[in-house]
Amino acid sequence: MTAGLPGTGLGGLLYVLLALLMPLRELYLTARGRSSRERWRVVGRQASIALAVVVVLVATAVAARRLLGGGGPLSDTTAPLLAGAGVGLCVLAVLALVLRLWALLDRRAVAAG
Amino acid sequence: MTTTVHPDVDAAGRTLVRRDRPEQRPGRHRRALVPADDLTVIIPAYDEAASIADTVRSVLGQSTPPARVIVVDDCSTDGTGEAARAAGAEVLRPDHNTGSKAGAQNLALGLVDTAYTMAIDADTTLAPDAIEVLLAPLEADDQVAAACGFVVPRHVRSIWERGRYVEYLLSFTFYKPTQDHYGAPLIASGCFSAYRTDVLRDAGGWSERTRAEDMDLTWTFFQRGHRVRFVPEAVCYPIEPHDLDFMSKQLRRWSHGFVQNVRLHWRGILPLPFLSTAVGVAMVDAVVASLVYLLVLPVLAVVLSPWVLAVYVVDVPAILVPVLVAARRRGEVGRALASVPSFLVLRIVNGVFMVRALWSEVVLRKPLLVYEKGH
Repeated sequence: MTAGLPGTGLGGLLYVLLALLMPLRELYLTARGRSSRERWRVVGRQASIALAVVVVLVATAVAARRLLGGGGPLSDTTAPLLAGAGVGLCVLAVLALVLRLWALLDRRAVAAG
Repeated sequence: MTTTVHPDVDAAGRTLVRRDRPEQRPGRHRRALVPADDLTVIIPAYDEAASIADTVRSVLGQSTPPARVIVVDDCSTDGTGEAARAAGAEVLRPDHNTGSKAGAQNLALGLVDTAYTMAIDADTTLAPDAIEVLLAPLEADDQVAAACGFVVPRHVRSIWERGRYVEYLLSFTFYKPTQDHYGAPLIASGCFSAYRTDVLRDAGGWSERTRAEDMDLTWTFFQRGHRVRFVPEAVCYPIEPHDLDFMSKQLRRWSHGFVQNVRLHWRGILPLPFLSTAVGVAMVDAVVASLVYLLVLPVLAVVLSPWVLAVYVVDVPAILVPVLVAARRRGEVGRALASVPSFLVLRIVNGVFMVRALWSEVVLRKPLLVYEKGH
């Protein structure tokens, strides 16, 4: 089974972000001797998919702009996309922060009896 | 493979047909034992006569066949038990229907005497090496309590099967490997997963407290400090709902099960950063994306411009990236491309069921209690 709605909004953004961060995390694990060639193969594949998703999203934005008769430089086209991604990232960051804070407060409450 | 079959009787006096343990089978001493020799496969079944033989045969025909295959014939009326027995499985038939898949699985769990237990749905067949590949992480790491595989619908014909096909290619190619890398696949799918038997028993087996027993079990493992792995090379082929009636039952069960598990486990998963964030995001998406798809976009299309409806399909190129990566590997690019429109329909239907489940479980406080079979 799947949780939530696949291929939509915040979830899609989260997994693209996580996949793009995988090489950095694996570098850290490699430095600590906890990586392997097999893990790097998976990291390479997932990061490539995420990168391709980002490129395709930008290309879609450019194509949509042209189809709708809009001209202008590339920055005009990608600005709404970047703004959307920025809002999404902010929401993700706030959500992660709230959950961590919640976990901390809950742990303290449990410890306090 | 040579196997001997003889009748056996369990503690409740029910007649079983039991295959001998691998070390007792003729010729087995000639090769080293493999993990599958210490594996029992449990297949819960209710009125699955049409598919159970294929399932049993695909399990027994594995590159490393399991020690035991137990089919729990949950008081079927269509000859499921006879078909399973004829295909070579042990058959366990309770006096009364257990009422749920979890109930049937737990009945068989009491008879398991192997280190590993595997759950497979009665309508699911396996790739020839699926068991061998799936057991590898369990054998390699004591901390791994469960492993799950890659799911691909066996039939891709109706709009619902096609939608599910794209959904699975997307999820199992992009989401699940990423979750696995960060140490927390969200669900070890109930249709094909392997477990360490002692850990499974410690967790109380498959719980009947939610309608998504696989999610419940997976999150319980994480809270107890165990690991769960996703093994993309282990492929299984379930029969997915072919019409809206069956799909509705399945989506109802899944959406309610998700909400029930979030309510049940939220406190337990809070200390687990990745899992709590992934579940939190899935929950936000379930609410926000569903409302946007079902309410906001149609309203904006009327108020502003019909072009707003393009939002329904604007992410298709992005979705196509992981889907085509998986489809190309399977040699099914044409099938995947032809199935994308069905995915867009299924996504909206998903949203309807998610909103209904949230409304019923959270607002009305009316939990779904009955297990309705829908594949």
